[in-house]
Amino acid sequence: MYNIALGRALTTATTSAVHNLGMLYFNFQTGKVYRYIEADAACTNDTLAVKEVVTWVDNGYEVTNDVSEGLGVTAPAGAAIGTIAEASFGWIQVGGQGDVYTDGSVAAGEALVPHTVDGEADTMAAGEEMNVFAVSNEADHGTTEECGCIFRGLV
Amino acid sequence: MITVINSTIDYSASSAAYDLGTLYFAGTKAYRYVRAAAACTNDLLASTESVCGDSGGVYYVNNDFAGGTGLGVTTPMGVAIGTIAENYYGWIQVGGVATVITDGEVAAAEAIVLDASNDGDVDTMADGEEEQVFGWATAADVGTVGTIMLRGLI
Repeated sequence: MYNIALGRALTTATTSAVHNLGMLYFNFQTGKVYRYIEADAACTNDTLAVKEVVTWVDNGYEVTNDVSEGLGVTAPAGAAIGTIAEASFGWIQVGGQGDVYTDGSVAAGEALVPHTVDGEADTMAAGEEMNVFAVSNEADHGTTEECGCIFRGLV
Repeated sequence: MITVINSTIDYSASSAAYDLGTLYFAGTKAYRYVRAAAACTNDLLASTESVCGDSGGVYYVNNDFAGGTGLGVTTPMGVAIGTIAENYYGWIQVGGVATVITDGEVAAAEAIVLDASNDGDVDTMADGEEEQVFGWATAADVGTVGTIMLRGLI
């Protein structure tokens, strides 16, 4: 398996696509996996911000942090690792250990799903099993609640 | 960057030879570099035991699902492919077909979860456990030896 040559930091966003949308990038040394996407034309706060949970808008590898836009909580895509402005292009994380914003009530070892609050993750409730995209490896914390997690099933 | 390993994939060591979490792809299988928890069932991870996450740190794993520091059956991490003593470092399998220890009642094509009643074992998914699935059985188990196609762990 071979990686593409990035040519720029994974957190760098651009206004035009520099890779094929949907492309995967493996950082074998950290065990983290990323996917190249386009931010939706109408995101919450006009941008995707680092640690925000994003969901699919359509089948064109377009994602959003606006959970009521597009395909919603049943279609988790990953988490933002840097700022990507609306309609711009960049990488999101889809595998390995990462950090996501949460609702403030996540315990270690819980299955996580997209929250109905934009950009956040929530603890899975019964009937939401198909929405799970990560498992928390710590309780959430911080002024803006967040937690470390292991992404699952997004690659 | 492609990971190059300098020893056999089932080799473990008391100090880390790679960054924790490192991925390694070989043929039809994928592996992740982890640390065994400080307190494992039988004091070690044994080959074919399935493992969960552990509160000791990121990419720490444990075969103790119900007690100690293991994070339990909601956090499957993969399958041990060799012996890794407590606090040692080594590779676990996270992709491809793996040999696992079952409860002796797995049928072909069943969804597989960690067995909450038996450390290191796997069990057939029951209703309400869908989010825990980390593989599906490629064949019915023979005794308590099963083969599963791992999923969702990379």
